[in-house]
Amino acid sequence: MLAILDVNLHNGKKYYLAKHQTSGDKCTIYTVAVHEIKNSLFNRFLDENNATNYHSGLLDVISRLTSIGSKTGALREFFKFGQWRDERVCYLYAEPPDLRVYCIWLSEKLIIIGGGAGKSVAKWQDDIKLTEEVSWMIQVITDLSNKSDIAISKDGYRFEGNLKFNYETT
Amino acid sequence: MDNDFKIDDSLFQNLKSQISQHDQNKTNNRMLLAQKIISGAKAKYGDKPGYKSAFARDMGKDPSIISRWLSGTHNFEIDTLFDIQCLLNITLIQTVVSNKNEYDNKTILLISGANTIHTTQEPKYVPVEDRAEYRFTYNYALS
Repeated sequence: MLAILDVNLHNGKKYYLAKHQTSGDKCTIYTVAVHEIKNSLFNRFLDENNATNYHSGLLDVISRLTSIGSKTGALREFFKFGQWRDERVCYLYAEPPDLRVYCIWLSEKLIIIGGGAGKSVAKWQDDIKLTEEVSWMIQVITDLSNKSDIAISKDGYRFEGNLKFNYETT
Repeated sequence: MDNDFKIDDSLFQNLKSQISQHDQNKTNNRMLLAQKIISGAKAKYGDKPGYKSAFARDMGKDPSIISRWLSGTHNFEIDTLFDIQCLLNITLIQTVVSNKNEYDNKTILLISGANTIHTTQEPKYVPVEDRAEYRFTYNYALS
């Protein structure tokens, strides 16, 4: 059953998509670079959890993304789906299993990673941080669906076109 | 046009440097193993969303356990791998047994799967009860 997501999306905020270093021959991994925080959501996730008990979980996430990029591709089974307004929004979890990083799964060849956090409440909707990260993913997939000057390459491994969102044009 | 900012990846680089090649290989192997099981299960049950349920039923496991197996995070017991490879008819484990006291270092026994013993020559079926006494001798350069 899908939960009704009642969150404030990040409408109008400037951001761009950038290829992440964990990308490889099997999968291209994009990250969401947000103008307001002058950083990517993924790097913010690393920064927020680095000095906590989740440190080893961060290493696990990075290691898993590296495998996805260069060894296996982004098999759907590696991600958890459901509960969100868009079926492409999912998360990759790590050991300890309550650490999650949210993603947009487009294919085995192409994913977008966002931010995340440890899940310490029964329902993610009760956690402001998790809700914010989910809403970012929904915002990005919504913008992607509505943007006409961006497309997926023929081989399916990358985006082509204008990867900036809500930037002013001159 | 607004100016871009450059993403500072120094923390990512720092964390990545803390992952040894050995640990990265372990993660790779877990995920590649999961990939192989996924491929085997889809070949047996079909590439449709319900394949995990059929796989779980035949393994006698809860679907949530199957999801964990396929997530690429699970540390399998050997017996479980043998059960999976028997059900899916795929090879997940190859055990090399070398007894240098009894044989020279070119004599090895390769066990692949639960029911067969493979050599670099002709694969041959060996009943379980006979395996303890069974040895192949052939020229095989250890590399």
